[in-house]
Amino acid sequence: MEKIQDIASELQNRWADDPATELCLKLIKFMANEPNERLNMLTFRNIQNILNYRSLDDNLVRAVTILVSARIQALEQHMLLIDDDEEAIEIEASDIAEARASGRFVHPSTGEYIDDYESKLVPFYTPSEKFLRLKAGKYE
Amino acid sequence: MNDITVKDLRARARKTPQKIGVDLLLLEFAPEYSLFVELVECAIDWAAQEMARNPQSLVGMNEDQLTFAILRMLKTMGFDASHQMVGGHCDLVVEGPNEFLWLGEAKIHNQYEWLFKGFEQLNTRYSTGAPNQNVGGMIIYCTQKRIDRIMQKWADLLLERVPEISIAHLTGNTLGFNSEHPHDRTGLKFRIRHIPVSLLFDPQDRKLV
Repeated sequence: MEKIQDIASELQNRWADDPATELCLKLIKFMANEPNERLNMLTFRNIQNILNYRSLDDNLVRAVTILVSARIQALEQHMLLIDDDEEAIEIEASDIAEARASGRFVHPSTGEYIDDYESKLVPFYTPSEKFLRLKAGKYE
Repeated sequence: MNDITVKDLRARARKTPQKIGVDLLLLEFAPEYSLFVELVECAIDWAAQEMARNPQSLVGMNEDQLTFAILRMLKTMGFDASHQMVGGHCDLVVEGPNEFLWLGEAKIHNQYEWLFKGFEQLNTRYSTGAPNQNVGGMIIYCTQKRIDRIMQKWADLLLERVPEISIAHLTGNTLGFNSEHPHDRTGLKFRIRHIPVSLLFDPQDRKLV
């Protein structure tokens, strides 16, 4: 039966000697102890503050990648579009897939093309469903 | 302070491994196998170039040690990469979202039969040939001269021995090539990217006055 500690062990086994692992473990510990309603939108800035980690560097990007990965599945990745009217809209993976294919991003509400769309996309993270189940003591 | 955007993440990524790292993270949001493969192949190319830059530091290393060096580089970029059991001990296993899988077999070139053994291991032992798992790689460590001839001879051997295989030279890394053939298990096209790693270290200047 898997527990949150097992996620931590997998991290330490698979990514031993990786500086990102320490960041992963700190964030997992934070999420395990914090009320779920305070974990609804973890941006990179939020994560930096939680970890007291000022740099936006390779280790931080890799730590988030590891936590989002299929193997660890501690975090789920989301994407927020902040449009020119400062409206925040959560977008779907299909919106990104279409943008990749066509080279242009379509505003999901207005249907307009958005120039320089990556400057308006804010990645954010939430604990994954798996993590929340383990946190609630519902073992896998 | 404003939240960090995708553009911010890309702006700080100046070198290839960093760019791959950002793309890998974003791939998790909208997984696409062809993009996953592109990132793995870009990473392998970069690793091969890094090893070729300092071949003297790799003299005497065996296959496992050389492959471990590549694995470390892939992991540093953020790949879930390992040497593990996939129908046997596959040299390079890279896993992604949605059961994406890329398998690599690495061989030091001494004899073409040894390379062919690696090809068959990848083709018939390790790979599934299933959708989102039907691309792999052969990494060929070369300590001899004239890699162009080695790779041409290798391609010729594959054309001779593997039914329905086609070969296409790469446009970027022109020493490498793609092979494609129907996978034994599924019949789906199984593409293998053959990449040489230049490890010859035989400087001639030391023989001169």
